[in-house]
Amino acid sequence: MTQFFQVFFQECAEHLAEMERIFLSIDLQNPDAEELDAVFRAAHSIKGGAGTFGFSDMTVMTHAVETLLDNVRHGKLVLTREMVEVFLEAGDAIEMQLAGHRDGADVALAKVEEVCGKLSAIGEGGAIRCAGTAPVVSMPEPAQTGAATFYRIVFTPQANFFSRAVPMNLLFEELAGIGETTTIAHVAASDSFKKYDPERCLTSWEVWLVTERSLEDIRDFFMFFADDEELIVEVAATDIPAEGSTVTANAEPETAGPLLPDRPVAAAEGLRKGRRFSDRDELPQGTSGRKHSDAHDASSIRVGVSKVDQLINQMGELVITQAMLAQTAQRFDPVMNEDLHRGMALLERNTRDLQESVMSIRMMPLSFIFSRFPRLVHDLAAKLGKQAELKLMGEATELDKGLIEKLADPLTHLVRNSLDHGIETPVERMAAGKLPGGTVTLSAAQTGGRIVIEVSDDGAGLNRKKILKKAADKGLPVAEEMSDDEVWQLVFAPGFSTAEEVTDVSGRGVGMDVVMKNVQSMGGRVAILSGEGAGSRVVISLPLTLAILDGLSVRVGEEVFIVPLNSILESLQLGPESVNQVGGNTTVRVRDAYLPLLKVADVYGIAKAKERPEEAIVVIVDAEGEHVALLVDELLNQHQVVIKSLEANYRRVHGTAGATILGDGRVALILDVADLVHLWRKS
Amino acid sequence: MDSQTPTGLPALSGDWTIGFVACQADLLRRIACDLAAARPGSTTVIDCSRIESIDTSGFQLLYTWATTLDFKGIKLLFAGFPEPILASRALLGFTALFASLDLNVRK
Repeated sequence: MTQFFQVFFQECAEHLAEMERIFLSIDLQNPDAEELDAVFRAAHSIKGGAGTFGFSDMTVMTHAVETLLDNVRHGKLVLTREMVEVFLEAGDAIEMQLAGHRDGADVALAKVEEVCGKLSAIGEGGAIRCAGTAPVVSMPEPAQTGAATFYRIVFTPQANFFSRAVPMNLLFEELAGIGETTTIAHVAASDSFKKYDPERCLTSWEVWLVTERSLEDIRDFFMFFADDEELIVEVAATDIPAEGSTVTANAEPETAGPLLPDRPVAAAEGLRKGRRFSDRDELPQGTSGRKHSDAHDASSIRVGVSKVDQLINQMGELVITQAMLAQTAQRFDPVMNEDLHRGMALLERNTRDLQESVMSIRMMPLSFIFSRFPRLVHDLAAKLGKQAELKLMGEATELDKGLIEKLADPLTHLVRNSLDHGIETPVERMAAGKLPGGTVTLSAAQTGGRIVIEVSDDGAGLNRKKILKKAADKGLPVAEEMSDDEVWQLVFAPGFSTAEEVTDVSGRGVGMDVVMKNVQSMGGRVAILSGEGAGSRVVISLPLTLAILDGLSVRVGEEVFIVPLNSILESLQLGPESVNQVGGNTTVRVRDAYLPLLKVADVYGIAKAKERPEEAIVVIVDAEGEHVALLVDELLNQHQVVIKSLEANYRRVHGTAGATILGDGRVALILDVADLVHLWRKS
Repeated sequence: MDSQTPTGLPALSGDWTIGFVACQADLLRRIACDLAAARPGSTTVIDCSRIESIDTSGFQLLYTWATTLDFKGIKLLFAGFPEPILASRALLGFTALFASLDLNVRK
């Protein structure tokens, strides 16, 4: 049963997110019918699932939302800003109830009551009671004024059905709530009671239902526990004039009742022993449950993250093994052992393809976390009395799942900061000659081997004087002549805040240092750019993935380093005329550009490395927009390398993104060129 | 769980949901042995008034028990299902199956 709960919890969260997304973007003047239908379906699905699993509190709330939405989409109610706010609050309440069932979290019943009161007020007299867990709903179902459809539903669960502890009574109550139902259980005959297994399900159900709901709606009721093969939903007749009265769920039909034209008596009576009338091989093709018609569901499966991680680890080991084999194969003469070398080339290509496929499984679009920010900005702006628009860019950019999860908190903090400290009040903005509404932009893009995420705003920007004063008050070493970049770095000091007062939004100074720590723990960096009155930009740069990358192995002295391939622009051997000494630094002229020369041997204190640039190789790299020449002794080979964490296995080594195991078993450091340049400048 | 009323009629009581049906099946097997020995060919009324809760597995068990005994010539009639159990039976769609097995319905 747990697996079904989990599926419901996940799908419920997705439905809530979808509802929120639509409500935040809906055009109140001219609401899109498809969007209204979508949000109605989401509420309906939550209600159906909640009812199935016995979460009656959620059923009540979603029923109220669903009913109002139904009135809106049928033009009986006009969608207003206030209504959207209440729907958003209702979404929050349902989410709270969901957390209560999923995690055992506390549910603020007072809040639930409050939201129900607001929903009830919108419903113009519809009474909704939310107290306790009893599903007490007096808000009427949409009047059955149109033509109804007569459905035949056959549910033939698998033999292990009882072990799932599916509350069939709740399901049938739900069905009875949408129309006139007649439910007939069939039990497959048993030869002998001695051999009878009471925990094996021999029961199947045939339900006849008259309702105005769609076929898809009916299937939704079974969505959490019925597989394709277990469910048949078919239209028995259409355009049935709906009667005002409904058969209650507790009514005891004498037999199949008048609702059952052509009731499959023969089938019921003709049961073979141990089988039910709709067991597998008797199912008509294409008449089973929702999944046949739902291409999306059929084309995707949910897999546990641990399984994906295991696959990636195994892939990493395969890459190392392949590299070792390739190194060994090099000892064999390529002419005499042509087949071996051809096979090794094929193995390398296949390993690479496999690696790319496996890695793509863990990649998730940033929209996964970006999607939470429209609501955050909407609520926070209202709370702060500001006008702000959120622009999202590059949501489709993909990032490793592990990084995405860790990124949520830092981004949330930065967006809140932008609204609280960056964006001014409408009055202040107009006084500064700006539009009253500010803009917060959240963007993501892949540049080289990294993902760059920016949180920017067109607000007041950082206040240099204020930061310096606060830093001095806190005893931090400051000086007037510090560059802007150095001043902005002060905000990352623990406990630093320039807020005049502590509010529940900010001011406690427990933010930017945590942002920095979180991002650094992901192998990332944070930079701040700001102009007074022009706004701020916080740039987070993260590695694309923490698992495998393409790299170029280079030798420096007797050490081997890996330079990520996507950082490399070119490599070349320079003549003496291209090398210049400027002060204590060396620059190299590459075509018409002068680039700083970074001697890797100097940074890591490696002996026996080539000192003279003209005798060595220069690798031009892109260090987050800055071009730098790395001096190495020799280019060795191109590899796929599995990144092993140095911090987890040894300690942090600045200028590196980790280590890897080479084909000959040696360990090589993987250079993080931007961090290496930073380290070099500092030293 | 008692297996007889004070008047000597077989009686069923307690929980007949999935967690308990294995135990209840053992009880029914014992009752079936007694019935086969003592009252072959007769109709036996089973007092169900003390059944407290039941689900699909319980109704399936009772139905299967009754029909397999019927093959052996032992007729059963269930009697005295409490109202909540009857409601549950109707909701789960077992009313038709029990129509010929319920003394109260037959009356």
